[in-house]
Amino acid sequence: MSAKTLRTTARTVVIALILALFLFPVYWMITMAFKPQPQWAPTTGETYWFPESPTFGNFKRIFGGEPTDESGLGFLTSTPIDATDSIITSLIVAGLGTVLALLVGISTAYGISRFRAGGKLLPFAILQLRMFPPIAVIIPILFLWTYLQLNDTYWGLILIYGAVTFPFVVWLMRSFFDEIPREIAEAAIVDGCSNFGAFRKAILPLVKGGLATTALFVFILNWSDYLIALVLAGSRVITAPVFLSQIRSASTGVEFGSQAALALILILPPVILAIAIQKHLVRGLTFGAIKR
Amino acid sequence: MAKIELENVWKRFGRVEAVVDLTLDIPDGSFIALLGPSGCGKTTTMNMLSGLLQPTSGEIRFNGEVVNDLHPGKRNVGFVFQNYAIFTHMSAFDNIAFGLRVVRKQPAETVEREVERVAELLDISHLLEQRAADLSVNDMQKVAIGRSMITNPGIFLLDEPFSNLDAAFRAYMRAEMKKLQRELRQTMIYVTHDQVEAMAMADHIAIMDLGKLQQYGTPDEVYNSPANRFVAHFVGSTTMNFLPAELGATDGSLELRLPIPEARPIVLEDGSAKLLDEKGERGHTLGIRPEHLELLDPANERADARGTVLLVEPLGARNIVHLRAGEIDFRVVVPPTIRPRVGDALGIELERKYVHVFDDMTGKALR
Ligand SMILES: Nc1ncnc2c1ncn2[C@@H]1O[C@H](COP(=O)(O)OP(=O)(O)OP(=O)(O)O)[C@@H](O)[C@H]1O
Ligand SMILES: [Mg+2]
Repeated sequence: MSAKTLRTTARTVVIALILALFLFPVYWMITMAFKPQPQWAPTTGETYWFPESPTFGNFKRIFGGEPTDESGLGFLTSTPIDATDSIITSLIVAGLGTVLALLVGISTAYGISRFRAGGKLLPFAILQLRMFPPIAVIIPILFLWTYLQLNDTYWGLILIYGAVTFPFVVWLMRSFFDEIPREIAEAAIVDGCSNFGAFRKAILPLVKGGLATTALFVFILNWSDYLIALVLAGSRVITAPVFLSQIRSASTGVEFGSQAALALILILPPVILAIAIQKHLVRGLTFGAIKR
Repeated sequence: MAKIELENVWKRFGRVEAVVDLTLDIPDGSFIALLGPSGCGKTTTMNMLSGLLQPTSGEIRFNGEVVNDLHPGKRNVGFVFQNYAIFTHMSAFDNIAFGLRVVRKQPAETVEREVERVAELLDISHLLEQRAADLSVNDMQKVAIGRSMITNPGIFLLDEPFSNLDAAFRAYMRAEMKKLQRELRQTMIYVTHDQVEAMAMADHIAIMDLGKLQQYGTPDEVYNSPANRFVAHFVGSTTMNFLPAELGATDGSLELRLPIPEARPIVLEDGSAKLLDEKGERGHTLGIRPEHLELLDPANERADARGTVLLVEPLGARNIVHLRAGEIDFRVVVPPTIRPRVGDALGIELERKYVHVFDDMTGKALR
């Protein structure tokens, strides 16, 4: 073997190993979702790398169904559960949180980019909001939310999701706006548009790609949040990740199989969204192609 | 159609004075070039005319009406930007139609008819369906011009519209724009830092430097009677020769003595001597364009000074001869048939008629 093929082979092996490392948990989750209970919680200590006699039992279980394990053990000692409400809750709070972050963030970003709003300091003041670990501020926010009676409400979560992700929107969208020569908006204004009209008719269409990318990114952040939803809500308003963490039964403890099934369902919305906006996504990631 | 007046217009950005006390009258239907080096306030002036910027003080009037606070869209101006501002996400057609369709909400037939009319004028009818992003740079600029023409603006503002184009196309567009302006009779203000462009196109040239208007006149005036040393230096394809001169008077004539050994004093007999009375003992500079110098045999007694050839630049239609006389270097423009060799000794004569004299202190032209 020549040195070159050796190098190519070595590189392929390394890439494969890294991929395996990252993809194994995904593989484990997918297979787990289809394993019957004795295989995800084996009493024999055996490891099932692949589900033998795959089943939809876990999926039925998380949507209130009776377990249909051949084992007969089933979920005898557990009460039926239903994840539907939590998924809807998650869609609402993550979705509206994203909309809120986008509305506020895009306006802020455009103001900063086009009108130098807030001078040099504002962009960094916004950025530093992201420099705290959320755990450091979540307790004070809990007090604040309790005082405002936002605790355990939809609006409480929507507001906090909007607030937490809006710095991302500002920084991402600002870089997209910066790419656009100021003359584009000015041309529209000379044509008779107002400032807002120029923004809507001339600028927004140009950043569609960036906007779609930003929206997806922010939605994924909100959708996958666990900590905030656990602390600021969790008894009346339960999001899917919180619901997921609480699936357990007396006989088996944590129900890994049902959790895997729900997790598998939960990765669907981001994946579907990503596919839906795929065209814009590529455009958003390769932004900067505007001719000057 | 519109007459434009600027009166004592200032624009400050914080401590930067971008436009300083600008007063300018632009007659209806005229073609004005706004000429000056980078950063002299040309774009700022245009932005104030279009309404994108408000003057810090002073008045801008269109047809006698103050427009300082009028929204850009209501001023009936067309603006072609320095960086062609076209919407790359739209087709060429939609770009040109934007002002009529999106903003003025005209019916579809009107829009179509107008876009086709403009496209015809600019010779881009075949490109209308293309996405603007896919157009060549040249065609993009045509679309940008079309965009601003569509509303039939009374005032047409062009901010260095062709600076990104290649030389050949620029020359072509220059001629086209001039033709177009003749046809449409709009008031046109054309910004450029290229004096050749300004001279070639405009009825009047306004020359700016450091935010201040230096001179406002016809191409002929700014070329032949520059108001100050800046204008003299800036205008002209080969830079004017400047030489320190000592002024003196003999019987009503002005005498200019050059710091060149054995040079003849330049005597101007046309009553210029009165300049001296006013200006006393200050330093002065003599200016003369390279095309107003004549090369002579060194023995010729018409020669004002003698020097040796340093360099010859053959430009085809003319040659530029660099000549050193004493400590002074001259540039002389001569016809292509005259092609001295480096090291040749030559005489040089200044055409009296075209001798300029500048006050060193103020830079003002005395003659
Ligand atoms: N928004 C602004 N804020 C601060 N200073 C500005 C602003 N716009 C322009 N200036 C300054 O005003 C002066 C004139 O600028 P302007 O753009 O009018 O020059 P210009 O003649 O168009 O130059 P160029 O040939 O480079 O386009 C420059 O010194 C510039 O830095
Ligand atoms: Mg400019």
